Amino acid sequence: MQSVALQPVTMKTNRIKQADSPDLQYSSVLQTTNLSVYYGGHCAVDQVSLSFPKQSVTALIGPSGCGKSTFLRSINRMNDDVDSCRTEGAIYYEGVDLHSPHVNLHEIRKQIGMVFQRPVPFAKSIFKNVAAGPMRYGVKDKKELQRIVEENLKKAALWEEVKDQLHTSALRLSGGQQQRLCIARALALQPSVLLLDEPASALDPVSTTKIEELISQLKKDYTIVIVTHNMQQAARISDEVAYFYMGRVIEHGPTEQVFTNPRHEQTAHYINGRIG
Amino acid sequence: MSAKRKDQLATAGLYVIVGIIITVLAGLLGFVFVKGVPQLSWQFITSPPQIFKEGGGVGPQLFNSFYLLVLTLIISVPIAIGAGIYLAEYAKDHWIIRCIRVLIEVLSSLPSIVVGLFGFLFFVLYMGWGFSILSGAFALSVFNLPLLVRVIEQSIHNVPKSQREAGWALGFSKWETITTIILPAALPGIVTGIILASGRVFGEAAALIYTAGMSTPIIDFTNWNPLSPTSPLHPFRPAETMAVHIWKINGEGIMPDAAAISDGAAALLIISILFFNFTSRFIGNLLFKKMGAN
Amino acid sequence: MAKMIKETEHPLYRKSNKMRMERIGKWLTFLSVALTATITAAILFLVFSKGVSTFIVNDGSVKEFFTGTTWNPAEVNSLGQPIIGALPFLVGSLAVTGISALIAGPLAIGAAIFMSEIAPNTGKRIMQPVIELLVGIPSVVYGFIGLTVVVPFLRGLFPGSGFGIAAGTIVLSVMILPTVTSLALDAIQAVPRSLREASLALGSTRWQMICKVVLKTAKPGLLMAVIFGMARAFGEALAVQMVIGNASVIPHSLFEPASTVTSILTMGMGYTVMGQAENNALWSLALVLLLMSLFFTIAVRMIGKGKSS
Repeated sequence: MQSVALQPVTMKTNRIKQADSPDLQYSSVLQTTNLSVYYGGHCAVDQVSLSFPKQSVTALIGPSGCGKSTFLRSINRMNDDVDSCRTEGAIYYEGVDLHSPHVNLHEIRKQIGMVFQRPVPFAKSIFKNVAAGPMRYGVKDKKELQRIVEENLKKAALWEEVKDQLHTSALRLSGGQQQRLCIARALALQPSVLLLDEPASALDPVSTTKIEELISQLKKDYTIVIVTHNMQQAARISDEVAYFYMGRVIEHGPTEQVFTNPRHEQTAHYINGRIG
Repeated sequence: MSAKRKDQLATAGLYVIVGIIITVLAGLLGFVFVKGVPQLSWQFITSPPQIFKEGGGVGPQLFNSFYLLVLTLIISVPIAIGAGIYLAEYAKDHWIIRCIRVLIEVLSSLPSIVVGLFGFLFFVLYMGWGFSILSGAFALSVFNLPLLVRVIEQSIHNVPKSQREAGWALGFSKWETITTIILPAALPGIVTGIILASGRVFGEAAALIYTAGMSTPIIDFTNWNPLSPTSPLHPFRPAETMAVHIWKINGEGIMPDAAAISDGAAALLIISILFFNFTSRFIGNLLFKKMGAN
Repeated sequence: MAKMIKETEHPLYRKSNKMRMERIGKWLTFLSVALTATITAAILFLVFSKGVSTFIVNDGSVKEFFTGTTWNPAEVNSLGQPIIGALPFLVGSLAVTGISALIAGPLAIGAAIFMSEIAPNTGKRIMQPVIELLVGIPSVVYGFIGLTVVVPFLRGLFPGSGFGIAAGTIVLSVMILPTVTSLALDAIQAVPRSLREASLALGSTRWQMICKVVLKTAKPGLLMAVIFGMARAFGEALAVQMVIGNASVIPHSLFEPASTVTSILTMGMGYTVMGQAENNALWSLALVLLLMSLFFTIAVRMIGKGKSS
């Protein structure tokens, strides 16, 4: 192993330099081409080609079991850990094929953060939850860690609520606070993409509003892909919408257009609550 | 006889059964404490046994029991944690793994005398360690391993799957997820299990009579150099534990107060087991509370 | 080509030591598992190879081992075979195991029913912790109490010294009672509440519900609990050795001194020399012990499998 392996990763990436390359000019940070995901013999995602523009929110909508969560999980290759799961097609992140054998899986997940449906705080203090990622990636300096924790808790709009109890267990927080903590934890690794899998579906309305406000804030710095069952939520926070049905993308376009003037009748039916 | 009458009779029968059991078990504990506790004194706990006359204590035996326990835990806990991790996190449903699981189950059900005889053959004779603390500690480790592995595997298994996914989603490798997230979360269960297993190790005698031996040389409690033969820490000296001592003096003890000494030693043994039991509950609850999971 | 170089500059291509740590971790933990399994295999192999040497090296007769009643492995009989009639020990072991299961089984199941169905509150808050505590009491303490209480008691009631199968059985019954109760309770509590409620709703009395629903559903689990207790009783060495009297004959009553496989092993191993016929004969007894414990394990597994399917 090279000594490079152990070097602490500074929280800067050379993304910009990459974008300058004429070969890799792209408007979107993330795109999939003909991505298919199979569970055993069942095709859960069927040849989906989508691209996600930088610093925008894309909402994936569709009835239960339509493959949107599976699609989301295959972007940061979480499905790798499912034994029966097989993926075809390509995912490009900043022009890099994420299925290339030379790509470092853990780097992918560091740059493409993920937040789950149910909040999953670790059984540690609030501070350690946020610091867990940076510490793993070699940040040892206490002051630096404190700075990172504060910065990201602020970004996740949680700082004011927890700043006096940073060293108490994260499990004592309310569900909504826990979910924002999970977002802060993901942000602490300085990702450029955030994948949100129905992040508010297990929360009360007040917490949901807070998460939605947070997403609108985060959009300035991050590319966000969110799976949601809530049409109002999709309409409120997203810039683009992709409608999934039976593993396929039926319609994809700017939110306003999809919601006011869908091209497909089926999309209209779903949005108006006739499917799912 | 009507169904109602039968129901009443059966209920009465159950009360009688429970009454019998409670009487027997309470009598058992009561007997040990009533006869044993008066024997306990600082002198009894600290002084060495006498062979021919009264007034001997169980000091070295008590020390040996704890020393063996500590060595046993030092040997068996790391192995058990490793094995527990593998079985809970990495093991796939493969025939080799199934064989291994069966073997571990077989080990846990082997009579402790068989483990002791294996220890005698392997550690005492083949390794040439003789009747010694080291042989005893290894035999006890073999005895302790399967139970510990099972407890640890179960504790790790009880940590929700979502915690693993959350770790992986942060770019942690499986190993990092296990060591930094899963193990800390499983800690209350693991610690409770280790302490309860300690009670079992502490009272075990059959695995020790042919490994750690049935005698204790004269040891000097002011000499803590582990390499010196009179030091309590010397790993190659024979070491009779409390449990073995109770067994031995009842079989061949010739001191006049053998019965009184057994009473005292039995009470001491049960008090120690009680201590392990309460400690495990207390520490388990404490860790649980500290992690806020309630 | 130029593109390739560019691509490898992307942070996603950064190598890390995670994969190496992952491999090391996986291997280390696998080694722990393999070590545990290897120890078991080594025990099985050693006891097996030493145990059969009586019959292979010393020309002992398998038939005599299981049917002969005289145990004197140092001597040889007219055929030049060592005298290794182990029947008295086998009978002793089976007797104490069987009778104590007959005593402890019903008591334990009764107690478990009581704790789960009749008085769940007292059961859970008081009896369960006490039973769990009693599971942890060392067997020498049971043996010691047997020696100081049970043996004199029997001596007063029946002719003889008080040592014997009866004393051994009483000690073992009390010893396995907490274990069997605790396991039986688990089995009974695993019966779904809905089944009980359905039965009561159909007008059954509580006892009918217990017999027809709870005991019937929990039967495999209860059987496993009792077999588990038997395995413990069969393998217990010191507690039995202290009260059974250690006479290597088949007793005529339960109140005469007898022996078990474990008691003879405990007594004899220290007085024989490794490799001699006497010693090998003891290892054959150890092999019997091992095979019986395998048998109990397999029985529990089979019942467990039948239950889950």
